[in-house]
Amino acid sequence: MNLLVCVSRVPDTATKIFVGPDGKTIDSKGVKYILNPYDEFALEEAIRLKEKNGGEVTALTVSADDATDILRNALAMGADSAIFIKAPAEPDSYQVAHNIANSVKDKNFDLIFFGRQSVDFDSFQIPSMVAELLNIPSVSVVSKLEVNGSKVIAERDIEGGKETVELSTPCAISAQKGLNEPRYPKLPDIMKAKKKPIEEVAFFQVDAAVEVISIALPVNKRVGKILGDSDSDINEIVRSLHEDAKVI
Amino acid sequence: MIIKTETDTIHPYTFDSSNMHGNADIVYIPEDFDELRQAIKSCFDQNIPMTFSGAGTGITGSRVPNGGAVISTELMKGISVFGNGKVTVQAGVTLNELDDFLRPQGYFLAPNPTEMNSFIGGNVATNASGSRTFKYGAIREHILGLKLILPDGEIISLNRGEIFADSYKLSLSSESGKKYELQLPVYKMPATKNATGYFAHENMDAIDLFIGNEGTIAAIAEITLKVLPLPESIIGGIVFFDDADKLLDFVIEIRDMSLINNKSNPESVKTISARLIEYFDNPSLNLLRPKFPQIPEKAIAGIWFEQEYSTPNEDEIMGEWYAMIQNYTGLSDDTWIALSDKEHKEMAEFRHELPLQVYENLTENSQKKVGLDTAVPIEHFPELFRFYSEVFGNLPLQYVIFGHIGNSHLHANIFCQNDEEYALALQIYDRCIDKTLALSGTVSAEHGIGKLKKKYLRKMYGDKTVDDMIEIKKYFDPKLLFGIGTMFDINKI
Ligand SMILES: Cc1cc2nc3c(=O)[nH]c(=O)nc-3n(C[C@H](O)[C@H](O)[C@H](O)COP(=O)(O)OP(=O)(O)OC[C@H]3O[C@@H](n4cnc5c(N)ncnc54)[C@H](O)[C@@H]3O)c2cc1C
Repeated sequence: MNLLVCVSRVPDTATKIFVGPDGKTIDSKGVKYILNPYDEFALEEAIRLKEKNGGEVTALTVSADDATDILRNALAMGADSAIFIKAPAEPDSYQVAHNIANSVKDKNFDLIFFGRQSVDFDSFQIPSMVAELLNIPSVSVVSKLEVNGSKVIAERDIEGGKETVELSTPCAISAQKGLNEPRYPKLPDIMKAKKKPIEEVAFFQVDAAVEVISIALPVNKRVGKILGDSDSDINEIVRSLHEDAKVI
Repeated sequence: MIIKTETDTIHPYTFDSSNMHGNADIVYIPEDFDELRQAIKSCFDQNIPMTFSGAGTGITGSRVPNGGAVISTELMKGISVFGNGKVTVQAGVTLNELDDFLRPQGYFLAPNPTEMNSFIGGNVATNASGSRTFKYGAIREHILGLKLILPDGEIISLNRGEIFADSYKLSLSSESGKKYELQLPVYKMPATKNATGYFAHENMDAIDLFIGNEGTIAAIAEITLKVLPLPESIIGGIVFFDDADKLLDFVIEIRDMSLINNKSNPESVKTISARLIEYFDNPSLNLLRPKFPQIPEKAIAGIWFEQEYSTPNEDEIMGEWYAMIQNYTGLSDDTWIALSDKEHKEMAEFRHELPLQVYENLTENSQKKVGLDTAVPIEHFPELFRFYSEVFGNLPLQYVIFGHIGNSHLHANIFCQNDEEYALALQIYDRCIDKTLALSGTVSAEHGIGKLKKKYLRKMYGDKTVDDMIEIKKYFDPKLLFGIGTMFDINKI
């Protein structure tokens, strides 16, 4: 089986994010980046399929920053090789999808995996766009997958229930949490990953479809104070309303 | 200052994480240094006993009040003066809050006690230590300054390196000019991590007397800490073993290599140089298995290590670790590795989950627990380790053993369902203490004496030394108001 997993490099969910001086991008200074958590489910599923049916897993990313670190993570999990497409500037979803489609259109992948969304910009668009550009079927937010030859049965989470769909390869699948339990990085695999190839592919120029005008941080809510109904807490409420909030 | 007088609002301050319960009449929650001093002074004037409260994560009953007042530092959260590798904090800042403050500036507090919700004041009062103590020592070695309040409200400020004892005679003065002249107890401290009684040493630095005092002679109001620049890269690993003897040999080999290599400049180190070495026995792994399915079925024990390194040396260092691990376990290919912050966090959760599970086991099943916190000098560790496996191997009770094996310091916890089991656990506890003492070890390496281990303080040091310590207590606290029932038996005074 020839399997592709498209991955993205996103800020660690625990890092504090600041907006850059242009008001349109994230200030990457001091930000730690990780492999998008949903992509781990996609990778795990592809690697399990390979382990069961044989074949190869390729990891691919399009990024304006050096993303070889997360490709090494993918290789350590068990991908065999990786493709890195370096964008000249932060690409929009359309540019990313075009680049993926363009670089893989002649490679005969049976399944193309994605995470259901990347947790930085949450656009949700790339899996369907790539499928459309390659003219293959796609199914999103998959929480259970069965592949038998060219027949693919996917279960999706829908509001209040499950939906089961059938499609045939080649196809695109976006992975939901629960699809599997991603494996943890093991020492010999990390060492082997250092020797696996990462192919650099030139960026395919296409105009962006959307333009970011601004990004902003949510307004900080005021921190509340929890007080009980003891006399001292009541005194504190009165004091606080009087001295801090100055409303009485 | 917030004052609590209702039973239900006082209740949260009457126990700690040991499941011991006490009682108090009033809780003072000062918001700054002056209010803290005011609370102490007013209790002193009215002869009201005072118990200081940090986060209550202690496991020896030390903050459990014996009547009187609780003085909680939970609102003293100031972090001031940061620079030149130093930071000054008030007692109520938690380890988490300090880390959140330091990390973005590229610094960290090295020792790393596991319970990140504990207060720095509580850490100083118990001389806490943690996983990285293997490389960096206990918190004591990172304390550069203390601002203290004595029972009568006198203020003493001490900076490390300024005031030393003359042999065992110590002279101090308070900010108001009051003079203190005292004779320190003359005794030999064990060559281990240690949190038992008052620190005393020939020509010692005065500041060390107050570190680990468990709230019995001085309130800790402000602390100046030495903080270190974050290392360039860190590799963490959890190695699983299928043979306990080989695990011990592995630990000794990596420990001894690390003790030497940790002295070198990290940039030049291309081999094994661990900053922490932690142990999990099989029952510990079993407690963790439901949450961490990556633990191999065949594993009967595990070792967690971490090493700081310079990025260009990564391949060589990883190769060295892999070769070493392959020498000692058939499960080398299952070694779990963390390189990114996210992976390190997951690994730290693995380690932290254990004491949490132990604590939950305790509270949810309202079981009783007996917990060992002993350490021995490194040359005696193999004997202690084998003794433990002999004693615990055939024990008909539920137990877990884990902890700071790099420091020859393990936590053995025995869970008891009923009084019979508890009696048996206490017997085992006493046997392990006797063995530890026969091997020149300590009865408490990091948790302190509190109210639960007083008997063992006497066993460890003998009556003369403990009575000399009580003299120190009486010297600073003649009215016997601070931390009553902690460290010493009140009847013995
Ligand atoms: C899950 C878990 C993991 C733990 N891991 C570790 C570990 O790795 N290493 C370790 O050393 N300990 C560990 N402990 C024990 C505990 O966290 C430490 O003893 C810690 O230092 C206690 O801090 P605290 O703020 O909770 O203090 P508390 O429990 O509130 O008080 C402890 C003692 O300090 C005194 N005290 C507190 N503040 C002051 C002050 N400002 N002035 C004077 N006296 C004061 C109290 O009176 C009391 O005697 C662990 C506990 C738990 C529950």
